[in-house]
Order: sequence, then structure tokens, then C-alpha cells
Amino acid sequence: MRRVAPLLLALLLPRLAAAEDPAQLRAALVDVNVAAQPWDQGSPWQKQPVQQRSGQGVVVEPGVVLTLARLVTDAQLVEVSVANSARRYPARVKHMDLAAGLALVEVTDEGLRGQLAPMKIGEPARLDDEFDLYQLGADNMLQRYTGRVVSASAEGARLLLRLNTTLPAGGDGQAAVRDGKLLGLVWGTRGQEGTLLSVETIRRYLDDLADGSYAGPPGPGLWVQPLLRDDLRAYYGVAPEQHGMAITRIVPGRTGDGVLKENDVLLAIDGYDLDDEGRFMHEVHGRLDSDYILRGRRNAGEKVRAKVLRAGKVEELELELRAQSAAQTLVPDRFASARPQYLVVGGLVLLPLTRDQNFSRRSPGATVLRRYTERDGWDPKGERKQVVFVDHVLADIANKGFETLSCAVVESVNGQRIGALADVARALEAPQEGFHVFRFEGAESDFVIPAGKLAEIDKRIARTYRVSRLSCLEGDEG
Amino acid sequence: MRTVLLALLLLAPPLLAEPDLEKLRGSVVQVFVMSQGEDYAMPWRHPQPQGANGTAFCIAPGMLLTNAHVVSDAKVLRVKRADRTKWYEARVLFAGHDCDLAILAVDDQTLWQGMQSLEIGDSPAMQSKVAAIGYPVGGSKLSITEGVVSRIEVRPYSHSGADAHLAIQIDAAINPGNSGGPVMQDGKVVGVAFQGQFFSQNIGYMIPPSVIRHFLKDVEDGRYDGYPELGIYHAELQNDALREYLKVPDGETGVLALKATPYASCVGLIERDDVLTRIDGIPIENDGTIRIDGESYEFTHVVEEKQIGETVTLTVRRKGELKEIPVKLKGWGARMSPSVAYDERPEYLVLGGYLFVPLTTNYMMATRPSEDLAYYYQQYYRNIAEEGRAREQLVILSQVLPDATTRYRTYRNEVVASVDGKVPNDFREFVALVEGGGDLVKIEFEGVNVPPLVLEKGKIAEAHARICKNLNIPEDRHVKEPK
Repeated sequence: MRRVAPLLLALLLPRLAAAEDPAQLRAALVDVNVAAQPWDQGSPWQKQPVQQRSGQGVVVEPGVVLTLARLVTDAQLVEVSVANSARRYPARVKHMDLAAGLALVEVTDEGLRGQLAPMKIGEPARLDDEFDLYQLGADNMLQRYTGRVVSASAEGARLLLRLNTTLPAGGDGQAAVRDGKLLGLVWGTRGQEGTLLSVETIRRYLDDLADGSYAGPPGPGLWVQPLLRDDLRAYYGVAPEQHGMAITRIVPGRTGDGVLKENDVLLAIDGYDLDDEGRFMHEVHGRLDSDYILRGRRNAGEKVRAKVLRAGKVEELELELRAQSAAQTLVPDRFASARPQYLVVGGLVLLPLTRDQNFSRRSPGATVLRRYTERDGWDPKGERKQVVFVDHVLADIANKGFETLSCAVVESVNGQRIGALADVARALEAPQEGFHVFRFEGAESDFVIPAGKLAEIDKRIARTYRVSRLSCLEGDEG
Repeated sequence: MRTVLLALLLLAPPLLAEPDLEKLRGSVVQVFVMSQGEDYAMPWRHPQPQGANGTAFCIAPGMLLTNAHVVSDAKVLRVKRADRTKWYEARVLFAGHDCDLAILAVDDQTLWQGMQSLEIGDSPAMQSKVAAIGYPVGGSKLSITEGVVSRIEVRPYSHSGADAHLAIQIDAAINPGNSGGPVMQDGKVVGVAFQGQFFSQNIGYMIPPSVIRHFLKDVEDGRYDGYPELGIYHAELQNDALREYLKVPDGETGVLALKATPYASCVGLIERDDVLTRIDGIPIENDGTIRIDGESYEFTHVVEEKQIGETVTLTVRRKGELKEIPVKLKGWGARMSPSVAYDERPEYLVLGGYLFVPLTTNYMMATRPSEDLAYYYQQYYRNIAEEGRAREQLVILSQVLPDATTRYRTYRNEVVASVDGKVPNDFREFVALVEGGGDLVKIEFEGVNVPPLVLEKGKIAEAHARICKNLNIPEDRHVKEPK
């Protein structure tokens, strides 16, 4: 009897007691090691020192590992290893999307491919669900930790579950597993807290890739205001029983452009009613930001229905979800691993402004550049495709007096307005009275350089500062 | 040991005339001040008064010279001679906050009996000995400390926070209480002690005779107008190609004008890309300095020596041609001044649960501004005439006061962009626009995606009385009358 009781319990509660199959885990969970070399933003003709990164991944197709995109950006060398072995096997990045936060790595070693077996994607974890998290330790042993879902939140195109977890800090791509199925990849951990990239985000990414072409998640595009305040509710004409968020701006080319209007109030999207903070009740995850509907659930190109209050009347509209790339963004995220665009002229190092640039220097110019970044693809004057600025100056006799110029936005070159880095190259073909004249925004002196001597000056500067290549314009990347 | 010292003193050549102690005890007075500043963060409040001591001295019958910072925001002002026991009530005749000098008057004539004026001398030489006289902390009697002139150069004057003038650094101890006291050499005043240096030892600064004279000349007409402002943003002209492009001949030097500050002297006279080659005939070097009597100064030093209303002549190379441009000098002119304001009530408006104020330096000092607000603050006197948005003052929604009607309004230091679509030129106009508008007033703000504030006058009126009562706001506004 004593021996039968546990057995009976096990039969009655098979799910609770079922331990994961170690052999299956060992065949699906891998360690991803990456040697990466990002471009050096300040000196974009060269690369930064090599960074070693390591994280984890899960085999989702034969020989293909799903992992976090940030692990494999700018990768020079990708290797994977499996449990109980110190051996590393060659692999390569098959696909990567920073917006989704995910990447696929293909194992190129035939021997290892045979040992690996894909893990199925499970159903979404609910609030308060508990499950195991696995990590390949430094000793190549499979370690088991636990996690419990505390809450869910939408962050851009990603749906993240907040965990209470025993996993140590610094988590990167560890698998959450229940009943042999994947519940998510660890996005990060700190103390007792962790975040898990949800199954929904993983499914959207894999389904999008399934047909061979990747549409990507829709990009941001709507600027909204919550409608908790009675003055704004009155201003937008929202009845007490109506709830939603007011639209204050629509980024040209993005979701809603041509369909929604400023001062529309978005009441419902894709069948979900919004509340006055623009959130909705999700059937599994509870209260989520509407970003999840607009960016996280579907692929770019899909359509959703929207219920809108416009001029006192409720209207049903159809929105096409548009990709990030559908609009020219004034200040883009640099496409990961892509070669940065730049131009060195007379010692001025000219760059287009991107979001990942780091202006820790406390100059007034840095504040101006940060303000461009905040405006999210919006050129108030509507004349630019890029914000071109002088990052720093490679000092030379030719640019004497301008050694400390930094963060200066280029307004015109030789009288031609500069709306992109390529415009600078074009404008240099037409000097003014024998000089190239750079004009900057704000109270800055013009920078001039004799046109006839530019080639010689550039050559000298390239030699002095060992600049291997003086320009990389759009289309030159690679 | 004592005899040796005495012998040394006797043998020492009389380089430094012995200060006439009896004369000084009558001429150098102790100042007691009870001052009360303003609370720019909660402008209906008044901070606790604070007592302090300083020094002043007689420069002419009936006139005591001291520092402006000694007497700023004074509610009670008294002076006392070292040779008397009586404290006399004093009042400020003139205060020059930009040069940190002030003149006091005392109506009780008995103060002046037997008081001798101290004469203002010439600028002392480097390394020459000086004596600082005053009433510093550490005792109540007249104190004399000696030192030498260590350095003469243009320094920031910290009282206004926005001005820089010539200052003389001495190594005599200058301590709180010394402020406003004379620094003497050969029986004449060669400086007014005014500020020290944090985290340093034996560094004290005094206001030189040139600045004292400038102040005294300014007030001759019965009013202090302050220093003139040339008002030109300029760049050095060190680059050969730039000089060639601007057609500056070899051997000619100067600086490049970028922009004239609005409201100041050069508006409409100086253009972008003008090369300023001379000021009152003195050649300007490529780094913006000039040489006078072998000493190097910033070229604007010429303007420092002049009064508002006087003329300075700029020699300008414009598109290759040399031009002489006489410039009639004006003051700062703009309503939004980067200087700290004293003896003024802050302007504000409490409207329902919202506190509106003009953006001022005092406000920036009183609050912890966001990076955004600091940007606007910086821009307002750098770029006040930015195309299409010239405004004399910026108005900000400083804070939201707690009340049921202000729930979910999370504004903090938002810059007002418009009221019902109109851009207010200054605080007064803002108040007029808000109060004169219809029952619904829409206020929009600068910045990225800041929601507009829609005020319903009917609701506000009721909330207004409640909020003023609950928060103990005795006056809901202070708006300056136009000059």
C-alpha cells in the first residue's frame, strides 16, 4: 500500500509530476557562442575590438536554433555547443530581426545536426503559471531553474512576461519548458526578476519566416494620448460610456496613414475594446498595451478593423499594418550589422543621425541631436531624409580653428540644402568661387576649404589618421 | 624675537603708506542687513529673512560704497562706524547688480560728521602690496589684512550669474563680512573686496578702479543703467581658407560675426560673415583679443569702458569691402535676461490648480529643471529670434496643484506654445489671453506629444477659490505692469 500511493498520485496528476525528458532537452537546448565585431561609430571606417558573447538557444527546426537577435548582431564567428560536451560546432546566422528580438542560427556541422531534435512550441503561459527554465552552465551541464509568471507587457513588437525566477542574473535566451514544449526564451534577469519573450512573439516570427519571405512586425506610427482627463474627453467629444485614446499624430507611410486622422479617438482595434489608457483585456495575459495589437500580434501587411470616434460619429475603418521600412524615418535605428554610412571631408567626420548613437558629450549640439531623435521620424520642416551632422573633426592645418567642432548639424553645403549624406557628396561637385562652404544650424561659423586642394587635404588626413576609406554612402554598405 | 620683528618693520622702506587707522575707523563702516529673497518655485511664499554683515566705505559726502550682493533683497539695512556705537538706518540709492556695486545713503546727518571720503586710486601693479579693510567674520572690530596683487583678468561676477568684468586677484584673506570693503594702497582705494574662490586658499577678488569708476559715472545722472552690450556672436578666424574665402587680405586680422543678439546694440548693423577688424581703431586679433598698453583683453573690453548711449566704431570687412560702422551702445534689451533678479517680486499666475510663471534664471535656480526646460532656457537667449517664433518671454506651466479637478494632469515645467492658437509674446499677454478667452481655453505646449490643457472657466472658478484656501495662497497672481 505504501508503495502504491505515490504511483496512484502520479497517475492522477500526470501533468504536475511529469519531469521533462532529459534526453529531449539535451537534443534541443544549445549554448550559442559569438565573437562579434560591431563597427566603430565614431571612426566608422574601422571596427571595434572583438566582443565575446554567449547565450542560449533552442532547436526549432532540424539543425536550426532560435536565439536572441542581440546575441548575434555583428557576428564574425558563431559556434554552438550541447550538454555534456565541451566541443564547439560551427554555425551561421540564418536570419535576424531586432524588432522581434529573435534570430535563427543554422548549425553547419552535419554530425551535430544529426544529434539535434527540434522542440515544439507550446501554448502561452498564463499569469501565475510555474515552469522550468534550463541553462547550459559553464561546466556544460544542463541546469534547471524555476520561474513563475507575474505579469505581461507589450514592448514595441515584443510581448514579454515578467517572471519571478531563480535563474541567476544575466539571462540570455534560456528556454522555458513545460511538457516538452517551449514556453519562451529568457529576455533578461536581474535579482529575483526575469522577463521571458513570449510564445506569441516567437510564433509570429517563425510563421512570418515560414513562407520564405519575412514581412517583419509592423513599425510604430501612431502618437496617442490617454483619455483619463475630463478636459481632454470633452475636447475630443468622448461620451462617458466611450473609452479609448486620442490620436495626436500619424507618421507618414506608417499604420493609419491615409485612414486615421489627427483628433480621431481609437475605441477598438481588431475586436478588442480599448480603455482610456489605450489598453485592452487580453484573454490570456490580462491588461496589455494596444501596441501589442498594432505591432506584436500580426505581420506587416495584414489588415485589422478599427472602431473610431470621428467628429461625434463612430466609424468602422480598416487599417493596414505597415512595416518599419514603409516610412523613411528621419532618425532610424541603425540596421544591425550594416556598415555605417559616413563621409570624411576636410577632416570633418560626417554621419547621418541614428538612434543608437551615444551623445554623452555635454555640448549644446548633443541636446539638439537628442531632440531630433525624440521626434521619431518626424522632420518638422519635412525636407530631410537624414539629419547629417559633424561627429568630430580630424584636426589638420586645413581645418585649423574647427578642431573642437562637434554635434553640428549640417544645414547646407555650397548653398545646397542637405537632406541626406548623399546630398553632401553631390553638393561637393559645385564649389562656390573655388571653395566648399559648409553651413551649420545655429550660431556656428561656416567651414570652408579650397576646392582645388580638397583631394590633397583628404589624402593627407587619411594618411595621418590612418583612415582606410573616406566614405561609405547609401548603397556602398557591405 | 619681538625686537627683531620691530627692527624689521622700522627698517622696511615705506613702500606701503601706513593706513591712517583713525581715518579708517570713521570712513569704513560695518553693514548689517536683514534680507528676504523670493521663492520662485512657490512664488506666493516668502522665505525666512536672514541676517548678514558686510562692509561699506565713504566715497563722497553722504555716499557709502559697498557690494550690491551685500544689500540685495534687504528689508532692514544699518551701518555703524568703528569709532561710534550707534547703528544708523541706511537705504540703497543705487544698485548695480551686473558689477556688484551699490551706493547707500543715510538720512541721519550725524553719521557723516567727521567722516572723510576715501579717494579712488589707479589700478595697482602686479605683485604690489595691498591691504583689505573691513569687518570679516571672526570678530567685531575693524580688520586689516595684507596681501599682494596676484593676477588681473576678466572674471565672472557671481552675483548676477551672467556678467564678467575685469577683476583683481589678491592673496589677502577675503572672508564673509569683508564684502564691500575697500582694498587700499598708498592711502587710496584700489579695489572693493567682493568674492572669494571655493575650494581654494589665499584667493580673493576685488573690483578694480575701472569698474568702480564706470559705476560711479553711470549713476551721475541719478539712475543706474548698467553695462552696454555689443551683442554679437562671433567666431575666431584662425582658419586660412576661411580668411581667404571672406576676402580678408594678408596681414589683416579680426573675428567673424555670426549673429547679432536681438534687442542689443548691433541689430541691423552687423551681418553674418562680417569680419570685425578693428574696434575704435584698435586692431582685433584672430582670436578676438586686443592689446592696450601691452596688456591683452577681449575686444569687447572697449565696450566695457563705455556707457549706454555712447558710440563705439567697428571696422568691418563686408564682402571684401572695408566699412566703418558707428554703433550706438544699448543694454541687454531683451526681457528674458540671463541675470539673476533681485529686489523684485516674481511674476506668477495661479489659475485653478495650475501655476504659470515666466521662465527666468531665478526660476531655473529655484527648481530642478528637466533637460528639456534647460534646452529652452538656453535657447531663449541664444536663439530668441528663431524664425517665426520671436517671443520676449517664455511662459511655463510650472506645476499642477493637487485638487480633484487636476487629476491625471502630469504636467511639470511645460513651455506654453500657444493659447487658443495665439503665441503669447510675454507673461502679461499670456495672462490676458487666458483670461480674455471664451469659456473653453486651449493651452498647447512645446515638446513631443505633450497633451493640450483645456480649461473650462466655469469649473476653474469654483476650484480656484478652494485651491487658494487649501494651499494658503493669499494672492493668486503677481503680473508686472508694463514700463
